[in-house]
Amino acid sequence: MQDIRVLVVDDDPDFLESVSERLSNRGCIVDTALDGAMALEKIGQNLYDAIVLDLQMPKVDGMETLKRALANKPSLQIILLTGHASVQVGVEAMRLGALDFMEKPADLDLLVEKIKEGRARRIDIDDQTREAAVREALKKYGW
Amino acid sequence: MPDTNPGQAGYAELFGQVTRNATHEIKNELAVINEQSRLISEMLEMGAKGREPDPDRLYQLIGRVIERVSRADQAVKRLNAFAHSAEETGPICDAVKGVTLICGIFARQAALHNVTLELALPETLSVGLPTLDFERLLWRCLATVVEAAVSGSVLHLGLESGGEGAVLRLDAELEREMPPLPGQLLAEMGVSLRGGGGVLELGLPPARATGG
Repeated sequence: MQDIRVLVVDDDPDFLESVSERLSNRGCIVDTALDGAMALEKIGQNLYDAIVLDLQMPKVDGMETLKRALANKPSLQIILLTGHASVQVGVEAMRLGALDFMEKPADLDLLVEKIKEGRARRIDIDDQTREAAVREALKKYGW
Repeated sequence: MPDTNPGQAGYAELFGQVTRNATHEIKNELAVINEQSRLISEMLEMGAKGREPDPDRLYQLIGRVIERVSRADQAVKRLNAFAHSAEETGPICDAVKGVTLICGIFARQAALHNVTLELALPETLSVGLPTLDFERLLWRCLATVVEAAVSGSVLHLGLESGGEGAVLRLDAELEREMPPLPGQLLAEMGVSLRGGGGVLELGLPPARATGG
């Protein structure tokens, strides 16, 4: 599973480091951010197949990061990973467009499956967007 | 949620908030311990397949696991100490112990607002409030100031003898106006309130000898 690019966002450096290394061991190319603001900056500059996002963080929390990221890049696939899961928060995250909502400690193999699912969905959405743009261009120029 | 309940509901609210903070902290520590120990396990598995792990890296990871276990243990001890404070039903409390305990539990919530707590406490100081009332008042003050404080700022908390009793002072740089503390709660506790701007100064009743 080469070329799967993941951004992991968590305010705990130890957690970030361990999860990143374990994901790298499974073939992911991992980038990290310690808070929502840093994550949004990286999302603006890079293409990721999936974002693994902690819910509770200082400055910009996970839910706000989710909203802002999807407002800029609707094809982003975001998995919320939190130590404080509740049905209410999970429903809200899915309503806002999260791919999934997982509780810490998460089964990393399951997380990788979700990341792969996110990659497939992102590629699908990007293909559809490109096709729509081509159709629009053909229509515009009467071809 | 504002603590305006004068009766049992106010204590239940305090227990809810303290428990929520402490258990979130413990769960975070456990999540890190889980990831680090699984990483160690995976490194050893890879070692069995011929990719020898770096011993320094293993020692580093194991050292971090030990450190995070210690942090989780401290969080459990704080929660346990808080639970036992319900047993202290007398009219006076050890304010230094109360501030240390409540600030220890509240620190995580402050960190989520990117605010650091800095304490200036005497060696000992008692006040004329039941322990749970003092803890409830302090939690309410901390939440009020932190909600309004500038991200990245320091909340200075001081406790000293003053007037007939003691003075609890919270001082922080604010980015918006603090909501008022519930006057009814303060009046019931016999606590006076001064200050303005980013300062809350509470006059706490003195610890008087009981009986006789």
